[in-house]
Amino acid sequence: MPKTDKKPLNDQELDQFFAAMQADDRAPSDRLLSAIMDDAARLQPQPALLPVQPTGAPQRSFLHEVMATLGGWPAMAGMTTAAIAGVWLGVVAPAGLETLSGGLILSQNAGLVDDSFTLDDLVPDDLASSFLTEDDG
Amino acid sequence: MAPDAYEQASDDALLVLYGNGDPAAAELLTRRLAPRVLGYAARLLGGDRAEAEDVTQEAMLRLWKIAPDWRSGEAQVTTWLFRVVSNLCTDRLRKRRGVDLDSIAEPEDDAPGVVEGMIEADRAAALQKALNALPDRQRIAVTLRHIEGQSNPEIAQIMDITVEAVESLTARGKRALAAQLADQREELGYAKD
Repeated sequence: MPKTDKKPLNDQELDQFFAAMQADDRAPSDRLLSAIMDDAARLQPQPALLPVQPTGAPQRSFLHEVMATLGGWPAMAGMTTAAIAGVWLGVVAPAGLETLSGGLILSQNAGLVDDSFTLDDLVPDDLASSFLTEDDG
Repeated sequence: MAPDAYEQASDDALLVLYGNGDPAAAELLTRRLAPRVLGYAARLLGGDRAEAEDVTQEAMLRLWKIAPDWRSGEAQVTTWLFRVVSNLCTDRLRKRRGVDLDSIAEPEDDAPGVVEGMIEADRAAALQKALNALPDRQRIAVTLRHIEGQSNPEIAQIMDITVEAVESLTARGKRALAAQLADQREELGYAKD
């Protein structure tokens, strides 16, 4: 570094040199900007793509779509079983069913049902009969 | 993202957008950062514009490469870039000295009229000449502090040294510049300012 006998610049004088250099900025050339942006485009990561269904995949029929909506094969099997059971009950008319329903469902004399019961049949004696004859006492 | 939002986005956010595949972020980052990188590289390289452009392209190339791994908020993009440019320029200066010490570009010495004082370009050229005479680390510290406006902690991060070491380098660098430029004070008409 060359020595000098002269008085060094003070901070204020030196700051003017710094300011001059800051103002002396030159813009990058178009060639440089293009080269940088070309690099950016070449190296830029591509956004992740959503998976696409292969074009050769078979399309499902309307019936398959309905079945899938209802729950697939397990649900279809349950519905079929219930339908068959209903038909069987209607055709065979098991004897046990008559017993359980008290003759109301399958009785051939359904019109007589109204005559089959009286008030006494429905209300216990100690409530109905004594209540109605209370005045005698 | 709306154009205004891009303009207001930080360098950090734009770099993350670029890493996510947003093409608009690259152009804005280039226009924002390339002038600063070029100016800084040119000052460290003694005003050699062609070499400074090479360094600028190389530094930006490294920025694009690191973008996918960039961790937002950990460092400023400019701090990272200044560090890369400092290292690239230091390597080139070492190679250059190994070949020919006199090949360092001198600022053009065609100072025109100086009767009423130096114009800004002359002052900048004189300062560049004085900076060229500084040791590399002093030149880097002084340039970052007084030209690029970086804080001492930021310079410490860029140069990977302590803040105290930064203060020492800038103080010595400024003393040397003040002495160098004093030689030219009267010659360049500065005394009349």
